[in-house]
Amino acid sequence: MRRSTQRFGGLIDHHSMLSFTFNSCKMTGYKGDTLASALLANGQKLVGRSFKYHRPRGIFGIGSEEPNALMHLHQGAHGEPNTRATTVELFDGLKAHSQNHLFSLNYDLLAINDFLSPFFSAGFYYKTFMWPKAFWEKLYEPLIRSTAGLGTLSILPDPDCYDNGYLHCDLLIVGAGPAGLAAAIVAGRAGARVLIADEDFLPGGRLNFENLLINELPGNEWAALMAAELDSMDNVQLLRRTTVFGAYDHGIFGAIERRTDHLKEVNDKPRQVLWRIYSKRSLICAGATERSIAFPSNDRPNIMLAGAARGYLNRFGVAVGKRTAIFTNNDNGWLTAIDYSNQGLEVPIVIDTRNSSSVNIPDGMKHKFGGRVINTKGRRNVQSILLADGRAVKIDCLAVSGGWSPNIHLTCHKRNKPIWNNQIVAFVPGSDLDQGMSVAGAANGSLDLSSCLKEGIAAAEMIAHDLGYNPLPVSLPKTNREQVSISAFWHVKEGIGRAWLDLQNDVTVDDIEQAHTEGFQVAEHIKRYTTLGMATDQGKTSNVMSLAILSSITGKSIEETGTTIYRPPYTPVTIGAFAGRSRSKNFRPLRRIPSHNWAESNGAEFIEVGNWLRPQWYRKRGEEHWRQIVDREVSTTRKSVGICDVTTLGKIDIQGRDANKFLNKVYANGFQTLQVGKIRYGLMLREDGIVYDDGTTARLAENHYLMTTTTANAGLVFRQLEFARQCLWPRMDVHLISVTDGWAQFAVAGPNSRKLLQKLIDPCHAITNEAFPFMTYGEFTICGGATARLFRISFSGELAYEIAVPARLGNSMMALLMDAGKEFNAVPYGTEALGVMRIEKGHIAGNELDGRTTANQLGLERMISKKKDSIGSILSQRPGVNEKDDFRLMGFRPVDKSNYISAGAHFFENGVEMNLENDQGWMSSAAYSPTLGHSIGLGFIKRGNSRIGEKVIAADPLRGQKFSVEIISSHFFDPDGERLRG
Amino acid sequence: MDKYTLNRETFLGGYQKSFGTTILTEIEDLDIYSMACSSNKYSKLKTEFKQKIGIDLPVTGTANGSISEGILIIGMAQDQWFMFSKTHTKKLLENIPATMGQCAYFTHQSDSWVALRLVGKLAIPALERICSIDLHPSVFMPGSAARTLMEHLGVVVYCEDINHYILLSASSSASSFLHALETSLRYVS
Repeated sequence: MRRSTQRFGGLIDHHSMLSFTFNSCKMTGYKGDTLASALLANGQKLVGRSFKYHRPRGIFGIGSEEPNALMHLHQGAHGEPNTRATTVELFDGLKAHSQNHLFSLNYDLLAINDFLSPFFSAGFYYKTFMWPKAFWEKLYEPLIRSTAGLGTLSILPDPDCYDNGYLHCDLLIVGAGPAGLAAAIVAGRAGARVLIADEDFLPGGRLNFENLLINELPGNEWAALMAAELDSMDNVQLLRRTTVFGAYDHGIFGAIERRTDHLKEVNDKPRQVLWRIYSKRSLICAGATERSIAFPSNDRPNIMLAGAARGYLNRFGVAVGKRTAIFTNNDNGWLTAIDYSNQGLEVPIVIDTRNSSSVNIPDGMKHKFGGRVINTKGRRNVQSILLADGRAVKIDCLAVSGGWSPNIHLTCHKRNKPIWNNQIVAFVPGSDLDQGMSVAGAANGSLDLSSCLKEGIAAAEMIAHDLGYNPLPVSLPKTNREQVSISAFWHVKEGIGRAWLDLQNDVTVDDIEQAHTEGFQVAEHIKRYTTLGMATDQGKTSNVMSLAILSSITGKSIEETGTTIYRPPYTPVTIGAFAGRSRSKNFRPLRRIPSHNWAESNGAEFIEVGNWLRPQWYRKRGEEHWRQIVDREVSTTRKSVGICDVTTLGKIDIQGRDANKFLNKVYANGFQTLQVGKIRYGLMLREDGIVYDDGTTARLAENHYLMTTTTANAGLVFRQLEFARQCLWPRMDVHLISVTDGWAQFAVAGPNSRKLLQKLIDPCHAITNEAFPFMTYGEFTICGGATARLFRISFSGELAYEIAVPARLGNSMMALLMDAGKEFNAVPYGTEALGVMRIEKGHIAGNELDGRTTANQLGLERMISKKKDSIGSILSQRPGVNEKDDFRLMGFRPVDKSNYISAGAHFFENGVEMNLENDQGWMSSAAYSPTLGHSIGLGFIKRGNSRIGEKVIAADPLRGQKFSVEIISSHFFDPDGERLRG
Repeated sequence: MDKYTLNRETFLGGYQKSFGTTILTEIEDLDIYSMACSSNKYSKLKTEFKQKIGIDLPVTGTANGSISEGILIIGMAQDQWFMFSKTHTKKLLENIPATMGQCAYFTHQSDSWVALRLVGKLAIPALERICSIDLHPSVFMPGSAARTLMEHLGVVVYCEDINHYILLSASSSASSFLHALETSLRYVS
């Protein structure tokens, strides 16, 4: 086991030691460490290999900008690749592995790529793999796929859980650094509902990384006090470990909160929650990200950003080097030298590209103004640097600062254009910010502490006033005076070797120059050709530097060159977090029929019908094949009685003085003459005349109707009716309520259905054929007073009723029906038997109402009333849908009765080639009819009604079937309807 | 006939569970009617309702009365209301259609909805995970009501008091709705 080296104070808990493993090597750290700080404390400088050349790489940054230290965390299905060690909060038992190497990290066989780098320059894919053509699929692509990519997936379902959520606030503050904290305090004290989010687990931003004073308190202590005050306010929510990753329309932001990633035991709690934040105002205090300088061999392990080197020392107590040199073009880089020197660590030299600095340089600190680093040495750790004046300096760490780029991403997510600020040599938010959005602090280009606090306070006061609050006056806290001057310097042109820009995607200055030479002159094109900024870090440390290089080549200013487009997410978001809990069987809600429990305990095997779970059939002991079951259910129903839960059919309660007029307009056939207590079949058309849905409507009272729809179209029909009511005829007195869920409805079908129901219906009601004929409705009492609705309708073609009771009585009703039906050997039947019986009867269903068929094709043309206007009636008469050789719904039976018809088969005349030109139509529904003893089908065929008796080929190439079928009437069973009227 | 008796079964079997101090309970004895105003009869309905029932018609998104005192009426949309009472006092609701004459249309909806009461400090954090509307007490005050979506399910939310909510969703998907609520409560407890 390796132990943490000497720590220099910092904000870690020295009493809470944690153990973890890196590449199976045991190491220790402390509570408050990140994985990166713990690795550095354990002397682990080499942490990964680069993407393309497999160059050895070390930790480069200290936050979400990190391009190098990508880790695979955890194992097996819990494993997660590409996590940045700099943002992983250390916990006991953490297992981390480096990635992107073949065999060990130290001896990566794929490092050979580095030696072949002259062949792998920008655009090599496009040039190299063009020939021979056949090699692409067989050789190149498999080879590239096996070596490319970052990290590996387990290819197992993710066992972790995730969640989504919604948050609302007056003011969203992004970033809990000095500006964000100051703003939150002002707005919070004023009473505004404030949400402040920071990606770090410790609020304070750079106050935790620097030796800064606020009101004579160390910055980190001031931040802790502010955070404590915010935590104590009921109107403020401080979200730690939360990255606001995207800005969207109307003040909506996306944020990812890492809830349990830092815990050893999660107790089935979500590891991450994806929040949708609705804000009235937003204040972006996202800080700034340091960038590097391009110089030869600037990618060696332990060459890192100066601010990061300083942060590891001040926050985590880790000295990243014992001999740390500084290479800077700005004052801020000097702070690293001063802080390291103050800890007694050697700073062999500070190389400043400028000719002077306003920093008070400590006595004896060696420095070189106007200097350049022109090369470095060291394989697994930088060992020396070579200066432009020829001096070689032995070091073990080089801290580089090329200036700070404000984190303007969220201000640009809606294509807002940033502007160039020469004073800080960086892009800052433009003037076209989203409505309600403000920016303060370093994100706004104000890089010194005093300005950050001042801007945060001022912005919060303005927003609070704007929202109607009265903020209390706040005096600006006293701070150290910070020097932040900078002089643009991007690239050391002297020296030999590659100067790296994008460390994660291995893009160099030479690549930019080459891309430009090859004609890619726009930033967006350069990005795609070189892959610059397209890695998981999205070029946070490299983009501005690369734009500067490009502008120097083109001769344009950086502002003219422009940025590439900023898009969400700011940092990578786990796909699982987007899905949240909507996975597997929880992907969508399930609807259960009222008799679900009875069905479940009586052999039902369920099928999903939309969101509904419906019994497909009820298996009895000894029945092995589903056809056995369905044949039994159909036969028993036809011979005696069967019961089916048909609650899923849409039920729409229609009331109003104009309800009759309304129905007459939404149905193609007439409803004006429907008497109270009667039921009528109705056909509904779309505006274009195509059939929309069918069903029955009962007139319950003078101004009260109950419409039924097909199960599949229940929601659509209701929506169509609401549209008609609200938009087409808003003056009509009509009200609609879906009562599908409110009533449990059962089809009781078969010759003994009346006898069965008579056992349950209270004796005061008569349901004889004379008293209660076909297409009659009545409100009855059953079982000694319970309310029930009875409909004399039939989908099966049998003498049948549908009886409805309040849904909570449904399970009991099913049991009662079966109990009362014992003497008739009543059977429950499922959707399959339901389908068989309706095909035998020739009734249409969803297969026939597929959104393409007309009333004419369905043989229902006479239902479209010519005496009135209704939705779709005019367009149903247009010539295109009423041709003489149009398709017609017909019945089909196999010539050889042993053949099984399949839905989806297409019709062809015998002997012709089977192609679209000769296509005569299609089979829409098919079933085996136990009643007829052979297979039957419903289908659409050209001029069908004049072709009865003709034989055609039904071909189903997908199932390898092709046989002769005879065209017959679609009414296979009881064509005159004697049974259902009996 | 006597041998056949229908039994009423609640949608969630009388569910009740505690999550710390927060309790989720199925309301089993709730009677629900919807009322829609007949065209051009609002003034008459308003007067009649106040006169005969003793409660002012609430505007959309608010409620008047209370279940414990007899009738709760919630404004669901323009000219549309939901009325609630406990089942044992359901005559209160049953009689209303007759007393309102031609001013309004009524639909009995007790079996269309599953009703749950969520009470406790975890109510808002749990609902935040599935409900997009702002339930903060300063915005969604006691007496407020709204139609919203939770996990793709249509839901009526009514705030009885701070951290006291009644939630109604379609009865056929009651188990999915309960699962959504239970999961949220488990995640935040």
